[in-house]
Amino acid sequence: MSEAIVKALLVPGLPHVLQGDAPAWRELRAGYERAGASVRAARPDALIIFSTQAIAVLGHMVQAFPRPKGIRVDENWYDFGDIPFDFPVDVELSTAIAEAANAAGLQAKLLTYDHYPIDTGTLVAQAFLNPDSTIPVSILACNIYAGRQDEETLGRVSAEAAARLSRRVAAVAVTGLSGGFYTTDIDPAQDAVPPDHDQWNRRILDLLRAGQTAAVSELAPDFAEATGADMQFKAYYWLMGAAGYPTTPARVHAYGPIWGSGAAVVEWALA
Amino acid sequence: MGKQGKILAGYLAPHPPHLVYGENPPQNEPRSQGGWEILRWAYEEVRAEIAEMRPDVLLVHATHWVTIVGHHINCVPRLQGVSVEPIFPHLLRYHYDVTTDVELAEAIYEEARSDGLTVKKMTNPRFQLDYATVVTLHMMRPQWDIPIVSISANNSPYFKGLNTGIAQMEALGRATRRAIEATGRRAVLAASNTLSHLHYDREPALPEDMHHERIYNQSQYLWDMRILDLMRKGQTAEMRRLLPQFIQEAAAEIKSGGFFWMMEAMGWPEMKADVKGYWTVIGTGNAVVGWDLRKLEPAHV
Repeated sequence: MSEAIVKALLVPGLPHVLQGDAPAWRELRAGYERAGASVRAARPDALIIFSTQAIAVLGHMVQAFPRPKGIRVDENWYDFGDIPFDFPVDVELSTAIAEAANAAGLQAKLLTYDHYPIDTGTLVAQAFLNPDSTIPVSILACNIYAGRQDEETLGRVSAEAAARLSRRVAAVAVTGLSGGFYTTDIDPAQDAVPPDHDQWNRRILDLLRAGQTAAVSELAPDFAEATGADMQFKAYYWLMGAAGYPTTPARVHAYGPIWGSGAAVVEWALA
Repeated sequence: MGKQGKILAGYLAPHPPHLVYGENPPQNEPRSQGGWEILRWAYEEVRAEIAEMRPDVLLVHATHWVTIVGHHINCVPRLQGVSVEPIFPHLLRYHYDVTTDVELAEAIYEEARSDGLTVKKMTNPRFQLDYATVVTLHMMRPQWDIPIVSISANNSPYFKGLNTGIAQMEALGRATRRAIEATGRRAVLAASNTLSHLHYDREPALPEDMHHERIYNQSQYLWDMRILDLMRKGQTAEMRRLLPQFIQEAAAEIKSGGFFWMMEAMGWPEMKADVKGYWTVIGTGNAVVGWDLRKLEPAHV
């Protein structure tokens, strides 16, 4: 396990938790706030965020524009409000991650462009974990074709790059659990995860609480197949690659539905 | 009662950002040495036809505006911004300024809703156009002087199964046609899709190095040619029958719905399509194809 990773988190990235008024979303929000307080108390030098809503197709991409600034209007969930953003990027860390990824045989590029569309998942995580944007971040995109091995490698080299720079970082995987979205409008108060998906989500979370992180990786393909899990749950592989498959029990701050999909706020304290 | 509107033409109009990048228009920040000329020259023919047709509106089914809850229709009168393509930001950072035909957009919304489709009006003026819309419309009409309507790609073909998704897209196509007729618009449609869609996962150091540009595999090529040959022969019903198999076996991007939307709106015309050009982009099969419905009118027969 890399000593550079002081916290590892698995968190949802849908904007419903920012201001949605459903009881389930309020519960997720409260859990997210607890996780955020825990992260800030650890005083990390940087956050490394891997978001399933930041999409890569050719290789891997790492955000390296020094200060992204703008307003995000989610293409699906714009009814939940605009998301203004203005935050610092740890360019040195992003560069080191990309170099390490390339050295490991992955193809990684730096994103150095103003007006680049920062994804909603990253911004939701920022809102809870880094609300004042005082902690620099490095953002990794999720390659839609990458498998377990590549994502674990990307996670490992992310941690190694942080260690080389003597950064103490929180590794944050922004991902949903099961992916069974309602495809019509709903009464948010009635939001729920379908029972079969709920059973799968709880099985995954129980294993994480028991410290069986490796077992979850083995189960992940079946989980993804059965529930349409967010990006085949590959953000988990990246997180475990970075965190080194900790066997300490995870803390599940919250679990619940977001528009039928599964969402959880999970934290590993590693320092 | 005003004059009944009509669809003048429809185009299969793929959206790789490489095409804008290769052209080096003033709206786009990156500069290239060219590349993908066969497709760009094909689009030049489309541009000439649009200039000659002088439509009131261009409608595009926006492949990369993917929505979960229903079909969303852009109803913002004017959108301005910079479209930085999230996957190929080194190729497309495009400054756009576009006017929406809000009356038609709202008419489509009403027609679709009356058919029982889940549909939403997108009215947020800070919304960013997706790059498929930007690329397709730039390649068709870079002056941006014709109002547009952009419609999201509801993910029902992926989420609810292909047949259900196709049925949704075709219902949307019928609603679109009725709205065009009711509002008196002379309209051109664009299905912003590639054909076969398997592609390479590494990019050459020089993106426009055409030495690297080739189809991903022979199977994809054969499928693309089979579909294009049916288009050019006007065997539309047979092509339509094969599309689900094509999607399955060549990962065809038309799964996202725009082609079904457009063809249904045009009534799946049994007419010879004009295959203007075909080439690959990072291994995917791309064709620019036109159906000029004016040729079906009595004066042209």
